Amino acid sequence: MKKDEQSTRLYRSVAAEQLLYARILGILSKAGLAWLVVTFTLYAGGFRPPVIPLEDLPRYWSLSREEYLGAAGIDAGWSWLRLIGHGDFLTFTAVAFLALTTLICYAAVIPSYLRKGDRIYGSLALIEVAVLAMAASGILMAGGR
Amino acid sequence: MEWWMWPILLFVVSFGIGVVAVCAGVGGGVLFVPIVSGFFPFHLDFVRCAGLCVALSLSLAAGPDLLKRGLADLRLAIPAALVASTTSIAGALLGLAMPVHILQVTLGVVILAIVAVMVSARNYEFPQVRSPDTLCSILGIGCVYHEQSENRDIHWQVHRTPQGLLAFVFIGLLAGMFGLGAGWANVPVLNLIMGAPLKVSVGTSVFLLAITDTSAAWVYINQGALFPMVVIPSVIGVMLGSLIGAQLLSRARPRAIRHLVIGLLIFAGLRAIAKGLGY
Repeated sequence: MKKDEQSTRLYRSVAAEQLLYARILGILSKAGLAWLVVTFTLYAGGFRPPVIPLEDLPRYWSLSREEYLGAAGIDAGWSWLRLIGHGDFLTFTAVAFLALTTLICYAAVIPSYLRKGDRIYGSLALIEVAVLAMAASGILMAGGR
Repeated sequence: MEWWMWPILLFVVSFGIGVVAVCAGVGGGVLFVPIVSGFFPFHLDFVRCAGLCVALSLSLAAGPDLLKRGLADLRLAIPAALVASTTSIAGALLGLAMPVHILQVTLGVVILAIVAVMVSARNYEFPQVRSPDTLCSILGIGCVYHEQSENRDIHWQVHRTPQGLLAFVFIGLLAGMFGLGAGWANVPVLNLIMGAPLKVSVGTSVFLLAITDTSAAWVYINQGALFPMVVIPSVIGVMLGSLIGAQLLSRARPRAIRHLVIGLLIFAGLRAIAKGLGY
């Protein structure tokens, strides 16, 4: 069987929602990883001044997260958004983008499931979006700052 | 030691983990946390967050191709992912609240248990599933993928869905608590308990990591456990290593590398226990 025919056969046997999820995931994951490399280059290369000078990092990376936040004068949660002008916190945008990718993909397939009348999977996907959104929101805290 | 030597060393070790993990057929996450927490000066909070980000990134990179080829199945993954991602949040919260020395000892014990699972689990390429259970029928889980080695389509279905989903409760909890990728557990559950073909189990397991680890990773990020100079060299190192590992796979000796990985994990597990006990 020719490779093109084989690929077509493979794709036809896969559900439309799965292909949609795969397409969006492909675009977002490549973009996110590229942004990760760009932001890290800006940070490690010193193009964007960091909140914590690079040579001071060893004083912080052996601390617990609470000690680190206290010593660096940083708040937990989404407060890092105020610091994205600095190299170290600019990299947070890339990590956050990658972490949001799954939520975006799930949200994209919900209409497809509901249009097909697949209420079970539409509901499961919606609940998953809610779970991921709750985790991302920062409302769940474990005794931190 | 100059400060920049540690991130470079971390990159090199992560690269090696990426190569070895692919050749041995294990996830990079399960190697990353015990090795880096045992031998680097980074606090376990930052290492666990990095471990989740490493597993998440690998899954995001591999996911599109696996989904398109039908080797990862969205209908199989969605219920399992919902269970595991919910409990991984609980695991992350619990793990961040526990004293570090207790966590270190528990991590060591879990790593040794993982070794036991890796050694004893016998996977089946095409498990016999006589009939799907009721839950599987309701959810409509089952599909077809093209087995290229035999040039034929494989129609598959699963059974013991409630038991499988129950197992994902614990998988998510452990993944969130210790920052481990869950591939070592996902595959046996999907393959041995639920009866999915081995390739679909492996593919779906890789895809599942992105969902399970994302929810736990957010908890760590929001709690201040994201340390860029630990996370990013690790992610880039493991991803580059896995690309090379995939190239080397045809020439590698999987059994020898698997024995090496098991040896490394035993050493790292014992080291974690020792570290937690103050030695």
